[in-house]
Amino acid sequence: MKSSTKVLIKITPAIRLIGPAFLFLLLTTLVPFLYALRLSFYWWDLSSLSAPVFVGWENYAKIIFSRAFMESFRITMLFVVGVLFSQLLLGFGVALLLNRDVKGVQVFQSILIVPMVITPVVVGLCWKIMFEPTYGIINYLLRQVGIPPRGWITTEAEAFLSILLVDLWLWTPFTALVILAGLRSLSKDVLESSSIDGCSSLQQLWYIVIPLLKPIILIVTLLRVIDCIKNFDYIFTLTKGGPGRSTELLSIFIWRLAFRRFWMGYASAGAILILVLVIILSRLFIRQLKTI
Amino acid sequence: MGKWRCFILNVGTYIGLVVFAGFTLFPVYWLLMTSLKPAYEAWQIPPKWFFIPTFGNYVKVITGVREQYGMAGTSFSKCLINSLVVALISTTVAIGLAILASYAIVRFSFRAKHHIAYWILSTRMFPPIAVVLPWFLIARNLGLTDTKFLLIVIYTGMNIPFAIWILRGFFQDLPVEIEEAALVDGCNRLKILTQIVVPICAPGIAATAILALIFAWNEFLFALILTGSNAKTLPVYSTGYILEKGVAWAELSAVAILIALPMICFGLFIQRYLVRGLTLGALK
Repeated sequence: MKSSTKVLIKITPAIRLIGPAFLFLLLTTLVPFLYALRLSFYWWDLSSLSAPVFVGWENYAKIIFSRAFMESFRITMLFVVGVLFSQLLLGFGVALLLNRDVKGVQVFQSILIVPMVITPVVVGLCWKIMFEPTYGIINYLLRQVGIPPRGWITTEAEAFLSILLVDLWLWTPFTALVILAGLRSLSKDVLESSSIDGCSSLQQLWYIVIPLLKPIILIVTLLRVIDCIKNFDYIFTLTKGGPGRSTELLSIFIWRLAFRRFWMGYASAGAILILVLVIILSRLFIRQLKTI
Repeated sequence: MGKWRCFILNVGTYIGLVVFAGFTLFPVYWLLMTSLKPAYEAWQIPPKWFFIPTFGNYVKVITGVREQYGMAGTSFSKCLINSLVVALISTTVAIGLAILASYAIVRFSFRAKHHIAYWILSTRMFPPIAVVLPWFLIARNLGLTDTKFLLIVIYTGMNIPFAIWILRGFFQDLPVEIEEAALVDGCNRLKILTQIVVPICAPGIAATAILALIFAWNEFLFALILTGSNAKTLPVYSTGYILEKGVAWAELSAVAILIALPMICFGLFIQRYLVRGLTLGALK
């Protein structure tokens, strides 16, 4: 039994300790949530001078079947799939490299934390500079290698791939470090005994390492999915959802409804929907966390 | 034969790592280089790889020569102060409250404990846009828009769950015996106990504080929606260099570096705790 579960003192001091934080959280999360919930049942165009009108579930009905929402949802899901596919693979590869016993691995690990702490807005600005079709460094380098320059974030077709690339740059290090932590926690005995039994490295990887890492992979997957739904800063700076609506992920979509159209009630309904989605995902995450 | 194989694998490993590290560092490197070039050189094609670095852009940004581009609004120094004040105060309050709450969650046992703990965790997952929307309207009603106070409150609320969860890991690692011994010795209040626990866990607490600071400093959406000219923070300020008529590339990169570089330094400082922080303690 873990020593931390021993009861030291009666309950009252506990409430006094947790109380302030709990109340603060209640204030800053529950109050806005309830406000948004109530607001979602009203139609309120802030830019007009009219007062909110009660419409019941109409906002939800409208938004779920609206083309814009479905498109945004589709783009977000597509983004999630692209993110998971590319980042899990690449992250796993990098983690395997980092796990090897070579000198100076620590240096590479240190480099990997840079994208994790750099201001996301700065990331957007930085890539905006690099993606510039005429003067940007990326197109210049491509031209040197003989590849024709691309429009990157200026064309609808490529903007989506561009933000996928930025997300890859931003989050693969995180994925790699998490998987690395998992790799390092694997017991050496299993791997050793399988080597003795004649297992090749590749077989080891496929039949032993990956199954053992499933909990960790699931955790990082869930975290990335939730983060993709939350994504705002660098997408806003790079494309603001454009060109057109090609990169309008869910959070940008809600932002546009609320702060461009000023349809507060309608946007609230959308926000609540996203919140429900995230809550379901985080329940899964928490359940997965308990198994570690 | 085995030695050759080993050698090739090692070389391959290094090549792979160098390529990926280069890919990771190149944008930052490019941003830095652009910021050190005079304005006309910054977007020259073909780019100048060798040049004499100049701090002109930084000087321009810090002394606030935005007016020549027709950019009205808050100055860099004001935004810097806003960012500092908001980040420092919100982090301090958040860590303070979180230490108390986390300690209680770890050392006490009460019925609602797991529900509270995991509810606290899920608030970390909320998409900011869903929270900003109601806050915008609430703040309007209360007259709190464009105040540092509002940002401090929100950022504190944003960091408390995360801090509680990380500190929980640190407090769990601390053996109970030390505290029990202090109790036996007649340590009267829990506060005295905290004066034993906190010093021992100081590195972990410091790391958590730095992580919270990084999050508060980097935050964008809340600051964008809820501030105007008075309480504007640096990340919002930086987007002001993207104008209708074009982008002030050189100055923009200088601002970007100024905003991001401190965070990179902090990150390197606490890198041991970063994975734990970003996975909310799932991995150590």
